Amino acid sequence: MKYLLYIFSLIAFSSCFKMDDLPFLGEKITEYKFENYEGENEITLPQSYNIADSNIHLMTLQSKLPNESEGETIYAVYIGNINSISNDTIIVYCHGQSKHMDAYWQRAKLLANTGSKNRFGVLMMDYRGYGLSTGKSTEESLYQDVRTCLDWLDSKNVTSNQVIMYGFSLGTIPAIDLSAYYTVSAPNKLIIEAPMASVENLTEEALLLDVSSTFFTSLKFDNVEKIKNVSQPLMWIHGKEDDYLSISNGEAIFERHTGTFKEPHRIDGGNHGDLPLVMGFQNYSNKVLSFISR
Amino acid sequence: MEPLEKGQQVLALDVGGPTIEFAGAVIPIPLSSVVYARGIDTNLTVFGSIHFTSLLFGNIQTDIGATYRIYESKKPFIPSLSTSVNGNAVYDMNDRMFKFWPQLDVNAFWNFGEKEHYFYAGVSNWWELGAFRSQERPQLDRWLVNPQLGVVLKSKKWFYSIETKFLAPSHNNVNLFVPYFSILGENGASGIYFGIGRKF
Repeated sequence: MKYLLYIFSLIAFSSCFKMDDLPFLGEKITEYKFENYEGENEITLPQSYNIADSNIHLMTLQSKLPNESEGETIYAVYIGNINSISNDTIIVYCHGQSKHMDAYWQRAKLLANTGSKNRFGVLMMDYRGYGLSTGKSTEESLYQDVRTCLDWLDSKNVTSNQVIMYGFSLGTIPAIDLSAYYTVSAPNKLIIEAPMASVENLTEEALLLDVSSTFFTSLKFDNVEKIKNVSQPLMWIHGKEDDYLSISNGEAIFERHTGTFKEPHRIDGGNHGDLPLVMGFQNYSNKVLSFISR
Repeated sequence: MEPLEKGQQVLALDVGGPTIEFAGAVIPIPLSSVVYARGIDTNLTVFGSIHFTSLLFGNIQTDIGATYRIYESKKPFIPSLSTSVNGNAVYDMNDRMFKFWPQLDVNAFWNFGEKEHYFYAGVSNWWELGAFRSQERPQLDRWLVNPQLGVVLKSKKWFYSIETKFLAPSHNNVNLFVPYFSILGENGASGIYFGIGRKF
């Protein structure tokens, strides 16, 4: 009887562990520094790309899941002239899994200056648990945090056809999900850089055997399935030497997109976080501009 | 690897797994299991295990099988031979999902010293029965061959083991999400496993 009790206790204690927090590597900070950020950056732009203070708008938004009473406060930054936002083309930039918005500021600046100085508005957000955003990220909250930003654009009279969704790495997960399913203010075009196919795919690649990802995590991140529901034009960029999320992840997603237009950019010598650098800033910008303008 | 004596029982703890590069160091993924084994006769031992790390993640994982001595050497330098057949089964309690992988090991072992410690070398074969991966893609890796080396040291009541496996050495490990370490460089992963057991 005593042994049975031990066994039942052990089974009851089990399930305590899941790797659900593993992808969310946000860092807490005390303030955003943007242009003055001196932390590690894979990309550093020349000063000519700097954004004037008057075009940097830090804001807080309330992101609330259906099962939450209060929700969480997330921080977002809009780069551009907020007075003309309803007439501008806006790139919604969903950053990767590391740190916070400061670490992705150079990338956001590059997009804002694509084509010419301050050509596009850029809206970037810190997911829950990143930077100054409160709470803790989950797969569902990731979608909700970005959805909240799209709703903010909607409240500023920005229409769907003005919105370009851009996801990098982890950010491709909400970018694809909302492009596929969000009808209130669905983005007009989708750009994904170094995407993950799915957690299931990562597990299979790493373990070779058909070990279900549910054995370790309840996360799905099922980009490869959701992309089938994306009808918007798609631009995909991936490094051929990506040693974090191999290019096969992106290939699987690209292959399954059935929208009216798609263009791939497989970058020779490109790794996971260095594609604008390897491509060259001008070349990268030209590709993005060409896709947005078509 | 070496079957137990008839009627002998062993309870053992095994810890270890594939090695990964983590924060500048090489560490094994900390898998763990408790194994019970019993000698049916001098050539046949049956065993069963429960995997603790797996249980912590909400999965009931077990190995159940038997080890049989194929050949007993009486000469020095000529190894004895054994084979183990077992099934590795996992049940995911959260998603109610079940998986099963058959396994066949063949080992040569050399006894040495008064206490008949032994060194062994062999190959562990794992089979994937599922024909498809996610997204209806074909399962390309139906049979994984993993060479292994190990040593087992015995005392009157205890034994201690250390084993290294060359996991999937024919597979390229470059650009995988899991940063495996392999002494073979860009092929497979190196596994390291430690065991301690009590005889009854």
